[in-house]
Amino acid sequence: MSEPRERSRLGELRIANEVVAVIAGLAATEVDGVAGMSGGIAGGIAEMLGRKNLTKGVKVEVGQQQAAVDLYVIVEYGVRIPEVSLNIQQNVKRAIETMTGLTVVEVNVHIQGVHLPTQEPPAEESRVI
Amino acid sequence: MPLLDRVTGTVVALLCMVLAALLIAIASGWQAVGELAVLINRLRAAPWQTALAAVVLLAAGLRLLAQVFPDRVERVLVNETELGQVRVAVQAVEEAVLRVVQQMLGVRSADVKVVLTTQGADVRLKLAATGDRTIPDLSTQVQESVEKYVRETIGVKVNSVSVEIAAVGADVRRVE
Repeated sequence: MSEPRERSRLGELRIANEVVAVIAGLAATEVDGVAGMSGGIAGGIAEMLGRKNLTKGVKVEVGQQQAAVDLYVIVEYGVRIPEVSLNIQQNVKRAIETMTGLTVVEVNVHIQGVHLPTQEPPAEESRVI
Repeated sequence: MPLLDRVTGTVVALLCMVLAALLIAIASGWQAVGELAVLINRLRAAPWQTALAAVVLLAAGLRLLAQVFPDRVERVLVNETELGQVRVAVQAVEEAVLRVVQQMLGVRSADVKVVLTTQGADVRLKLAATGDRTIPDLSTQVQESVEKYVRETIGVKVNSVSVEIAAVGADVRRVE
């Protein structure tokens, strides 16, 4: 849990690192050309156990006013990585800043892999209607 | 992480795991002799607690090892904007280049090695050709396609694309 961000007459506001990580992960995966996040061994085990890991492939550092994000991404084969990376950076920054009010100072994108589409055999045409 | 921390972490992690293995053996009925047997008998009196301790130690050991030897994926900086850095894993580039090469007419199989530096990429290809096309034609096209792909899609300047034709001929199966 981060340090309290705001302290008003009524109390204080804290934003957990995990919240920022979930926002970043969702914002990254909705960008066109992103096949998924790469979460390493721990993320893989969590998914095998049936736990939907929304923070997979996301590392965040959250301060009182600012946040820095590292994203470990798998992109679709054929997309232009510089273009997709820029879209990820912009989308993640916008999402975190809009939803939390934190200033995002850095969004580092690490391309971990390229997702190759599997070539499925053409479906057999039916001889009857 | 400093070397001393790595060594310490590794030793502690290994000790944890050895201890965990010992506890698992005890919990599952392993027989020992001497002083160890006395200790084991005490632990065996509480098999569930022993097993729980083993699980905790095992988890701690694995966690420590993961900290000591972090993810060693080699990544290279390809772009830096005011928003942050973009790094690409060498393996990702190799997979994509392999796909590009395998889709080309005249290539039966390929082996790709990419060396990425901040100055650019050096791509080394070892190909098995089908023999449908002349080797100079094939290698020129492979070089051009790979250079274009890496430059445009990955966003990295290509210093060289070296091609080695390791085999020629169709992949004929001897049995049906």
